[in-house]
Amino acid sequence: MKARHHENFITHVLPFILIGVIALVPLLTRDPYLMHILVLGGIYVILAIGMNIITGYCGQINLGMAGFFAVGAYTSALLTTRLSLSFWLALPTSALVAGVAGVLVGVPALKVRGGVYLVLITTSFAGIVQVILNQWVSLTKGPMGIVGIPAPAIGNVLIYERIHWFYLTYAIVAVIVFLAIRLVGSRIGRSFVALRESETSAQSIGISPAFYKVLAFVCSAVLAGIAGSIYAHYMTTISPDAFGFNLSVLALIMIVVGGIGSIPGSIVGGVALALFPEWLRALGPYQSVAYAAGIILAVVFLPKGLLMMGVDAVQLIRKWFLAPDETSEKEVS
Amino acid sequence: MIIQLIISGLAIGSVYSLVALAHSLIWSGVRAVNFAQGEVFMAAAFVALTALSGAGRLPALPFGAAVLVGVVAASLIGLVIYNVAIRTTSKKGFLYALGACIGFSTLLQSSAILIWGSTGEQFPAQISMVPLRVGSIFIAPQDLFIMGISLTAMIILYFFLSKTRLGTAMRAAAQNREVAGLMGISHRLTDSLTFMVASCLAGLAGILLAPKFFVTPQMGSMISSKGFTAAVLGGFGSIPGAVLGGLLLGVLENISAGLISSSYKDAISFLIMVLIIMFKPEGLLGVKGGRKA
Repeated sequence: MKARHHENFITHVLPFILIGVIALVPLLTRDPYLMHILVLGGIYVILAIGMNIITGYCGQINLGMAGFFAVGAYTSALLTTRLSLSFWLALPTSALVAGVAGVLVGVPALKVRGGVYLVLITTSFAGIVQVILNQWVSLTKGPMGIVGIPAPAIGNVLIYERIHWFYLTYAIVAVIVFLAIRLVGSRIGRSFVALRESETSAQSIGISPAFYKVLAFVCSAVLAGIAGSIYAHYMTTISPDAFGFNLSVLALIMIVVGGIGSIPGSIVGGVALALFPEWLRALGPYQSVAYAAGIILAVVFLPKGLLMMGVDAVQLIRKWFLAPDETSEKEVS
Repeated sequence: MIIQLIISGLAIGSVYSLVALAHSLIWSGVRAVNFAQGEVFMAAAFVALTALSGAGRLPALPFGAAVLVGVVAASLIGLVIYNVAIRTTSKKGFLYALGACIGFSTLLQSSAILIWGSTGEQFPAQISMVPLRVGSIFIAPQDLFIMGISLTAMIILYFFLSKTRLGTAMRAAAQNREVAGLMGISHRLTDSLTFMVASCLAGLAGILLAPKFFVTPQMGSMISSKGFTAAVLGGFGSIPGAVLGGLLLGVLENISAGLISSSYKDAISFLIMVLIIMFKPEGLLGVKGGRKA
């Protein structure tokens, strides 16, 4: 009984506590640079949740997140600069277009068995997107990128200050976290997990692998598209360089570091990977070497991710300090 | 015109073959994928370049010795990658192996930037770049050299695998891991060896291609995707398939770049990969069933 309670806390309450803690940061400091890193962290969180739905929950490794992110960013940028649409219309449209891209990748990915080919097919998708962004100059302006992407407005207030972006991003993150928790706890989310554990047994209880796998691709693509749209408007300038293979890799590392198959883990992973390079800034030229070494160490030594390691540590401390009778009661249940 | 394109395609294709061979060896022997292969390729090119031009108190070495230094460095990197990234994560699942390999590729790339700078260097051409005229077509001696060395490396690999005790052990492990283990073949030994041999091939490919392009820390990511496409095209895990896939990819790429447009050259390789995975996942010479990647 108690274990279930504990699990409920982690999946339903902890994510909002984490977002709440981050939202309190401006009370301590309004340093614009820190705000910038945290806005990027919020965008990463959305990307990490998308990655976790397809890879963590549904077990399909997707190294094409940069492609979906780019589709979202460019859709939003083109709609607002060329057609002067408002951000609030461009955001859902870019989510929609990215979702269609998710179908385009998800359907061929169905034919693939095993992890390696899935990695290759998703990377190829992201690679093709990047070639198109670079070469279709009349639409995307090629390597020059798109500049002057307008800031969103709420009523008459334009959002361009870092602190406003901070609140806007984390408001969207909170909504997405809420929806993602509902999704993974629903029949759909349970079907994803069933498919991950065993496709054959999932099929035997009436779960269609084709439908749910494509659905998982679409969900993650939609989230990546939303993240891309926010990114484009926040940065105001985008170019193909920002959407390379490294970004897809970053999404993978975020969920491995934060915790695979965990929404609060995605929050931890996204924010951690935005902050981690900044902590290493003091190392000067060795920064990126230390960053890479840190990633290898995290993958090899933190199989459950940062979040669950923290939770385990808290539990261990509680076991030491709680009265012995309470501990034994926990063990019985 | 077509023959011209085919010949220069074969030269770059033989380099793709070496990288694809590295993937196929590792997949058939260890059931793993080294996603940092491209960076092994890059590191070998840089090490060979440094050996060739000399650094600090080290004297400049002749080309042959520089190649050897680069290849040995590549094999050592392969050994470290296997023991740190692949062996430790083999029980945790593919996702972790992938993450650790990618960590390694970032590590190698940033180390290269730290050591050699991010701008890249010119690798001095060893063989004349001036094309020879044969009938109506031009052949660069450089291309012939690349093809010759690649072919020699493949022949050496063949004899190593089929005639030596270690090579036989590697093939046994590739055929049936469990039984090979029961026969007293140490997995750790054969797996490490497979990674080292594969990295030698990837490193050699890097050194061969270096004079044709600038040597930069980023050169690995391009070749990495080409190597995968070549391996998939021939049949992932198949040794002859890797050779065929590499040559075919080189030729296809060159012809389409020459006849259609060079700006979408890189997209061709991605497109081939997607089409093969969708319609012929076992590749051209792949083994059907059971061995799918």
